[in-house]
Amino acid sequence: MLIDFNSEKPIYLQLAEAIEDNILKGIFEEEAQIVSTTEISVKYRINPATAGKGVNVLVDEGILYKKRGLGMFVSAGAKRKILEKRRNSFYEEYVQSLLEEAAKLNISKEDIVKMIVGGNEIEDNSDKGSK
Amino acid sequence: MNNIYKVFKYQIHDFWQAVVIFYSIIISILFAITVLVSKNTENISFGGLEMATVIFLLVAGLNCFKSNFKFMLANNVSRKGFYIGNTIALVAVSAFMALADAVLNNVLNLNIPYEGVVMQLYRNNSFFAGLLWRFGLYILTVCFGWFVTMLYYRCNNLMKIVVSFLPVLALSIFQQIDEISGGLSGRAVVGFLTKAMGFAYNNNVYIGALSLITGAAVIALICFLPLRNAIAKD
Amino acid sequence: MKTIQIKGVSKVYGRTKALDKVDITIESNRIYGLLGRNGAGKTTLLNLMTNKIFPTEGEIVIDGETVLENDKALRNIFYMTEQNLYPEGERIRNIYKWTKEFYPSFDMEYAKGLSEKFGLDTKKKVKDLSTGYASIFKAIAALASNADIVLFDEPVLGLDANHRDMFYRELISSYSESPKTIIISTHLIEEVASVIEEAIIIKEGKLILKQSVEELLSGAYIVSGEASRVDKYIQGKKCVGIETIGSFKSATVLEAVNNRDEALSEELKLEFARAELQKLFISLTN
Repeated sequence: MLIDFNSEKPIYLQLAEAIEDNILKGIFEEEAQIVSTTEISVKYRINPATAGKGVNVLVDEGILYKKRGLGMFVSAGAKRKILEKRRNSFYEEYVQSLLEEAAKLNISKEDIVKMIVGGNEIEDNSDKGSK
Repeated sequence: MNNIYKVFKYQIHDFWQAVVIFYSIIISILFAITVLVSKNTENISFGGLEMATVIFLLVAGLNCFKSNFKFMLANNVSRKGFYIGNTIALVAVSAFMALADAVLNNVLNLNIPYEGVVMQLYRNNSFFAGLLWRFGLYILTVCFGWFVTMLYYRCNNLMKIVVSFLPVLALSIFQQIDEISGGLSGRAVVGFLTKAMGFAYNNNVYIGALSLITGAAVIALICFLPLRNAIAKD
Repeated sequence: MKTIQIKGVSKVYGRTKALDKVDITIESNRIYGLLGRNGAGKTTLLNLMTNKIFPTEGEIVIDGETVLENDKALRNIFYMTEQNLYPEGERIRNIYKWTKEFYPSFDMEYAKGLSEKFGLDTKKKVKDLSTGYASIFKAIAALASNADIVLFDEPVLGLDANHRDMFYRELISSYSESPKTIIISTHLIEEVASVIEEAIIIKEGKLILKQSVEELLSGAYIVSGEASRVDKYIQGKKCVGIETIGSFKSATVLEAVNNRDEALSEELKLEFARAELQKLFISLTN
C-alpha cells in the first residue's frame, strides 16, 4: 500500500483506496482481519485519527466491519461492492478524460475503438479534419 | 498529601547513604580510640564527637536543595509538597543521628573517659535530656545549612557576593555598637544566650533544647519564603 | 476527560511580554503541535502549564482545578523539558524507578524495552549521556509515564534521523494503543505535520491560530509549472512561499482546495500539489 504525501488527495482517502486494492487483490480476504489502525498509523507515520478516518469510510460503505475487542474485518461481499463502486466511477474517472484528451488530439471514436482492440495504429486524420 | 511522602522518601534515600558512611567511619574511629585508650592509663578525657555530626549535617543541609528540588520539579511536585517533605526528612535525619549519638555517647562512657557535649556544657548525664538537646542542635544546624543554600540559590551573582559579606559586616557593626555602648550590647547578647541555653536556670538542658528547636523552626519557616517562587536554575 | 483551559494567561519578564493574554482550550485525547519561532513563547507556555513558573495574569486549569501549586492536578501531566532537571550523578534506571514513584502508572517494562530499542544503556549516569541520548532518555520516561497529558518540548533535539523516525513511530503506537493528550512543541514542522492532528501556532507571545491540520491544508494548495504561466494563474490570488528555479516556479495559493481553477491550470499546463504545513507556518509567522 502506497501513500503519496504530496498528492492533493486526502491521506485518509488514499488509505481507504489502498485497503480496497488489497481486498481486490485478495491480500485481505473476506471475513478475515485487516491490519490494525495502530499498525497502519505506525507504518506510514500518520496520526491514528487519520488512519481511523480512512477505515471508517469503508465501514460506512459496508466494506469493513468492526468485531469488538478484535479489530477490523473485511465484510462478506466486499469485493463485489468495491468492483461495483469502481465500475460506477470508471466512466467518470477514466472514460470521460480519455474522450476529452482524444478530442484534443483529433483522435476519432472509431480510432479509439481500433486502439483498444488492436493496438497503436492510427491514421493521421488531422489534415482530413475531425469527424 | 501523597506527594509529600514521596518527597520525604526521596530526600531520605539521598541522606541515607551519606549517613551510613558517616557512622561507619565514626564507629571505626571510636573503636580504634577505645582500644588505644584502654591500653593507656594516663589521665586524658575526650569529648565532643557531636562536632563531627554538626559538620556533617551542615553539609547535608547545604546539599539538600538544588539538585533535589529540580528533580522534584521534573516530576511535577509542588513547592509546597517539596517544602513539607524536605522538612520532615530533615527532622527524621536529625532525630536519628541524635539517637545514634546519644547511644554512642553512653557506650563510650562505659569504656573510656569520654564526655559528650551535653555533659561538658550542662554536667547532665540524663539520656533523654541529651537526646533532646542533640536533636535541637542538629535540626538547627541542618536547617541553617538549608537556609544558606536557599539564599544562594535565589541570589544572582552580585547578591551572592553581598550576602557572603553580610555576616562579616554585621559582626563588625555589632562590634562598633558594643564599643559605643560600653560593652552593654555585648553583655545583653551573652545574657540572652545564657538564658536561652538554660545555663542561667541551673543548667537546664531542656530549656536549651527548646531554644534550639525553636530556632530551627524559625529558620525552617523563613526557608519557605525563597522557596515559594523558586524556579529551576542550571 | 482531562481538558486543559488556558485562560487569559500572560507572562511578563521585566519589560518583555513573553506571553500576551493567551486563551486556549485543549481537548483531551488528541495530538497537538505547539508551533512557533524561536522565542515565540512555546516553552514559557509549557512551563506555565506545569507550575514551573507562575503567570503574571490569568490561570491554567485542568478539569476545573488550577495547576498552581496543585499536586493533585499536576499528577496528570508529564513534561519532557528541554532543560535537564534530572540529577547528574544518578543512573538512568534509578531515575526510571523514582519516576515510577511519582507516576504510579509508569510502565517499567515498556521503558526498559524502549531503552533497548534506542540503544540506551540504563546503567549510565545522566551526566555521561550525549545530547541525543539525554533527549532519548527523557522522551522514554515521558512515553512510559502513561500520564493523561504528556508534553514534549523539542523531543528530538540532537537525535539522528533513525532515532527521530523511531521516536515518532513509538509515539504514534503508544497513542494509538492508549489515547491521551499529547502536545509536541517543536520547530521541525514538516516532520510532525502528519503526526499531529491540530496545530497551535504562537507568534510573539500571542496565539495566532488553533486549527486542525486537515482544515489548514484544505485551505491552500501548491501550483507549479512554467514561471510566466504560473504568474497568470496566481494573478489576483493571495500567495505565499513562491519559489523560482530558472523558468520553473511554484507558489502556495491561499485558497480552498475545492475552489481550484482546474480548467485554468489545464489550459496553462500547470500542476497542483498538497500544501506544506511548514510553508503556511512561515507565511503566518513572518
